[in-house]
Formats: sequence, C-alpha cells, structure tokens
Amino acid sequence: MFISLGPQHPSTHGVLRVAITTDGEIVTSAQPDVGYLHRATEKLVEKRTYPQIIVLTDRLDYLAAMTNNWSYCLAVEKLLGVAIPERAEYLRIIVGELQRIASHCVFLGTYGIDIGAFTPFLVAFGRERERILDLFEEICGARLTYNFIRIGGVMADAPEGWEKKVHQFVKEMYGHIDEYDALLTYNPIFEDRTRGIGKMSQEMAIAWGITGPILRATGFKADVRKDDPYSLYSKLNFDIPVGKRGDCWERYWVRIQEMRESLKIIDQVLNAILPGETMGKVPKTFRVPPGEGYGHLEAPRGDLGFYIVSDGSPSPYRMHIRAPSFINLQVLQVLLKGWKVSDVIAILGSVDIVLGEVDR
Amino acid sequence: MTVQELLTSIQKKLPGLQEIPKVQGQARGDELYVAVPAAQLVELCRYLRFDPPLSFDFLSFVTSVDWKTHFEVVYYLVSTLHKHKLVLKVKLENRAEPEVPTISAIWPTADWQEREIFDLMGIHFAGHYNLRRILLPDDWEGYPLRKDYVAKPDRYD
Repeated sequence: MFISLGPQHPSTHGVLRVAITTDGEIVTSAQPDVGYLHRATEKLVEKRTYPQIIVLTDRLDYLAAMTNNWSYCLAVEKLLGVAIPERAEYLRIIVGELQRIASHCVFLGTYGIDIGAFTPFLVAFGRERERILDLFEEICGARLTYNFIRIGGVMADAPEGWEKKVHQFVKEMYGHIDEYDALLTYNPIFEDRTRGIGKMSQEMAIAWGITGPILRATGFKADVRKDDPYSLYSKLNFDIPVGKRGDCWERYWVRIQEMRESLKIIDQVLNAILPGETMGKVPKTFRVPPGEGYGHLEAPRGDLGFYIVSDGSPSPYRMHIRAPSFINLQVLQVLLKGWKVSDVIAILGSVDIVLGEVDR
Repeated sequence: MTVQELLTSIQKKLPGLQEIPKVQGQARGDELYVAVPAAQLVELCRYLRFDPPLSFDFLSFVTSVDWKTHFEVVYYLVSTLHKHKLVLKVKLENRAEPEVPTISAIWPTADWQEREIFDLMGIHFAGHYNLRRILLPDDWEGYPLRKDYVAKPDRYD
C-alpha cells in the first residue's frame, strides 16, 4: 500500500512529506520529500553585507537561532581574524547552552505527543522553555529570532541581575529534568514504543554523515565542542553522554543527559565570568579579505557549519550551510525500512528535524 | 597525520596531484587543499576512504562554487579515527555541461548533497542513482545559484 505521510501531518514537525510503501504493516520503502519551506538563503546572502546576514541565519533552525548566529559569526571571524573579548565568549556559551536546553525541551515535548503522552509537552515546552525565552528576551529583546551574537562579540551586555536569574534557573532545572525522567523517560508505555526501535549501527551513522545526539546514541563519542574546540570550551569540564544500541529511546536519553551537561557548563561559566568588554574591535562597515572560511559548532541537532567564500567585497561570494537536519534526514530512506507503520512516527520524531533548516 | 604526510601519501598513490597553495593575503583554514581532476576523483576517494592510515570515513559536506569561467566542487573530508582533515577541489571547465562522477557509493551522505548541487547549481553527477531536483519543484527552469541566473518576475514582484 502507498501512504503519503504529510506534508501537513502533525507528526512531521513542519512541512515534510514522506512517501511510504508498505507490505501489510511493514514499511518496504520510504522516500522523504523536502523543499516546501525553501527560501533560497544561500542565494539571498550574495546580495547582503556580512552583518545583515545574521538575521537570515536566525530563520534556519528557528528552535536554536543562537547557535545559528554563532556558527555564522565563527566562520566570518575566521576570515577576519578578530579577537573576541572573554566576557563576550562566556555570554555566548551561556546563551548557546541555554538554547540547547530550550531546543531539547521542544524535542521532549513534541516527542511525547508523537508517542501519545501530552503532559511532558505542557511541562517542558510550556514551563521551562518559556523561562529560557524570558531570559533571552531580557538580554536581547527577542524570543525566537535573536540576532544576538554579532561578528566580533555579542549585541549588548547582560542587564543588571541577569546572571543571578540564570543561576536561579539552573538550580531549579536539575529538579525539572528529574521530573521528566519520572514522567516520560522510564514510563513503561514510552519505553515499549521506543526501546529497540529504529536501531542504527555506528558504521551506518558515520557513513551517512550523521552528527549530534543521533550519532552519540550509537555509542560514538563525537562532539565538536571536544573534537574541534571553539570559543572557550577547552577550559570547561563536561562529559559527552553516549548510548550503546542507537535506538529511539537512547536518542531521547542522550538529549536528556545533554541537558544536565549543559547545566554543568553554565554553572562553571557563571563562576568564571567577569565584567568587561562585550565587543571586539570590528568597524561598522568592513570588507572581508579574499579567501575561504569554514566555521562549525555543535548545535542542538548536530554539526552546524558555514562555509564562506569571499572575493573581498562587502558581501560573500558564496556561502554554503552544512545543515545537520538536512543531512540527518536522508538516512530515513534506509532507516525506516522493515519497521511497522506505527514505528515510523517514533523514528521520525527521534531524528528531531527542523524543516526551516532542512529546506533553508 | 600532518599536512605534509597526508600530501606525500596521496602523491604516492596518484603522483600527478598537487596541493592548492595559499595565495598571499588570502584567509584560509589550515587544512590540506588538494586539486583533483574529475577523472581521478573516484579512484582517489576510494583510496582515502579505505586505506587504513588515511581512513577518511566522514564526509562533512559537499558544495560547489560558480567562478563565472568555471565551476568548482568542494569536498570536506574528516577522519573520525585519526582526526585529520582534507579539502578536495574539482575544477569543471566545461560550463555548458559540467559533469563530475558521483561519490555517493563511497559515502552515502553525498546522496542528497549531490542532488542539492544538481538542483541549485546544475552540475551533473554521473552515476548517481536518483539525480532529481530536491528543493525546487520538478518543473523549475534554470539553476538559481549560478551567477548568470536571472530570476523571472512572479506575481509578487
């Protein structure tokens, strides 16, 4: 039987269509169909100056706009060779890790709904993520598209008392994550739906270019923050949680553990951060020397990179976005084969894609 | 492996290949950049992927650049085992019919990335099993990422 899942199906998390052929209940072939949200970002940037492009990166992975800004700025800073003040680096790490927690909260909530549990959504999405967005609103004025991390530093210093509020949030968040464990992680129905489902081997994950929590769930210790350290991550002490079997449950579990590690990182940064400059010496208008730069970082969904080719003019000659959602999504062609139709939703949810980034 | 060791072991296999030197005043990362003719790409990639001291098992991304006179396809390779990196560049002089062999049989991750380049830049990947447009509609005319692309005004312009 032929099933067209999406493009307007709630479990596809956006406008994604998956063309599925089944034999009885078993999936025999699956072909994701993307492009419904294509906005030609890579073409648009060729007519804009470097600082103007940051707002476009906000709109790629709209659940993790901070890391998009950051990754783009890393690439441009590599071309320019500017030094970033220490306080700006620490502020970047705080908002980057808060963003990771907020993004995983969305994953947790929507994955619960996909499987049939509604309460985690109200808790993780409606309560904890809201608090993070309130913190972001205070520091940059926006709740979804921040434009906060700028070339050479950050937009503005944190307002009076912001660090105390972050500290208070971190203290409470440890308890909230334990609550998620009680609500969803070890819930027998949830475990039945996800344990042993959609297994992926390490070799398959690497060959398909998978990065982020999905790769780590297969037991492979890979994280750009450790392998190719950027910013001040080499100074910080944190673990990379890994799974063993690479099934749906472990992909979920790795993300929960990552939230705990992010809290550990923010705790260390809040102890180390000192008052100071938040912007390096970058002129208002500038030309980037000719050449090419590749900046990448560990975004909530994997290895997010920007490859920029400059010809010395005020706008990039060519920019390519290595979008983790796009590259992680193509594995569904082989991953879904052989599983039941009801497992398709569980597997699709566990890959955690954002269509804004898939289609760009 | 260091940059120099990488280059020597590549040249041992395919003696004609040269490093792309860094031009004075140009910004660039410290990876090794190697120029490869399209005809030798598959042979080199097989060697890079399966030779144990090299074992470039992770293809980070594939992209292309339109230099107006020619196209360039860029491959960014990483070894998760040895942690070394390599950038391959293939120059395609024929602007009318740019063609390069597919490497999706060596790294399956190239599958959609090559389709994306075909869709937006119009480079043909010979041997790709499913080379169709991926982001744009199937009946789209032209290749938008080319520098000479002229956008047709639609009802919103």
